Amino acid sequence: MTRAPAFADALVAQLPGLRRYAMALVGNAALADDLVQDCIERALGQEAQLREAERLAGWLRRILYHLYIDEIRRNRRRGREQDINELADNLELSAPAPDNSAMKEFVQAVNRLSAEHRQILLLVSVEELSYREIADELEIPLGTVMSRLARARERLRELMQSRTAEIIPLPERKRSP
Amino acid sequence: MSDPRLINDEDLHAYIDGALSEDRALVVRQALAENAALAERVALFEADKAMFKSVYGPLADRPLPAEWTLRARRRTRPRMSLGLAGAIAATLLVVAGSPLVWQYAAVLKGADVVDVALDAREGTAPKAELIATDGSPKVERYDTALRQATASNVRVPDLSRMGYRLAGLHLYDKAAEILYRGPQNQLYTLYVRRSDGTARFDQFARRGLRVCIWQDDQITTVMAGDVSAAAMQRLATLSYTGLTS
Repeated sequence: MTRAPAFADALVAQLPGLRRYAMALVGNAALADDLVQDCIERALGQEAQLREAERLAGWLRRILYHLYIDEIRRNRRRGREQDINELADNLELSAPAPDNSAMKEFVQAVNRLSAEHRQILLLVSVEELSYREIADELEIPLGTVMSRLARARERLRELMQSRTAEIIPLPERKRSP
Repeated sequence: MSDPRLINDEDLHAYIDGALSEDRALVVRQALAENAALAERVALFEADKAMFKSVYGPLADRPLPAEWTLRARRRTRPRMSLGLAGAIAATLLVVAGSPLVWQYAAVLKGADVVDVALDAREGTAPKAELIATDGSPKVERYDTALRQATASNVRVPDLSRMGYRLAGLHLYDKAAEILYRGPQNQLYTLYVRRSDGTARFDQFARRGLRVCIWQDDQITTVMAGDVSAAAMQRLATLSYTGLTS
């Protein structure tokens, strides 16, 4: 039996944005691809749980975020030191920027935020969701969205102003290339 | 009662995101006009927001791995209702004792080339012959043995570009398993046999390994290793093109 074409087409259409979200959230291209792939599998297996087709993008992001949090928990005890320049270098290949050093500092600062802060900043700044949409997606009150966003932006500013390059732990799967 | 002219952080950020009512936005605009430090702070937040878009936005334009699209659209078994599943389970319980059932199950298990390949990797399949495990560069010898075992015009792929060295070749009945060792001495295996003529491509995790099956109308290859999905993509591509070049 062929999978319902409407769901398959809708899923495929969401993949570029989902991968972008994963790369920005995770700060590690290989892990991001692993998570997207796992997310596809999870989505295909749980297709029946998607109640509103127009919420597919948010549903996929939520699955991916939970997979990422699971990954962090699994790897907490054996977290590997990840060079935070990795993603910045990677991004330079695809994103023409007038000032690469500013971009690199920015990516470094974003990677040092908590996953929760990265998530909300990406949803509002890259995915361009409204506060109400974010509240629905994260299943939190509107007031929490606003206060979390304010804290996330303040924290990012602090990190940008400290401009201290350092090595931070990011989760990575046990497998090695 | 609080002073409506007071602006808190949530107001500022909602202003930046265009999420304030017009009345409230007017209050914020007036405050920004009167307070240069506050205006500078908001400008920095706005710059950060714009930076997010310019840095991460283009990532959506990157080409996707082809297998993601294939996976999303590939054929799948129909969903089974709970009632139907229950009826089948009950029927199986009745006939489970029959030797015929177990014989048929064994045939089905044997028909799954991925399990056959992983059995071979784990050493549970009977090997006909071990050609080499010393990694010596006698590639022609391996090529000949591989062709004979699989009855296909294939070659042993060179994976040295990814830091993988040839470690051996196991020969089975009408199949072969090529072994490689990676930079950290991790094992990567390539199981090859003639195809049943159908095309198949997939990548997934099984038995704690990343597995890729790549099948055309001539050969079936099952790649397995303790690697990431992204690394498997690269290894699988190099392996398949090396085999068929």
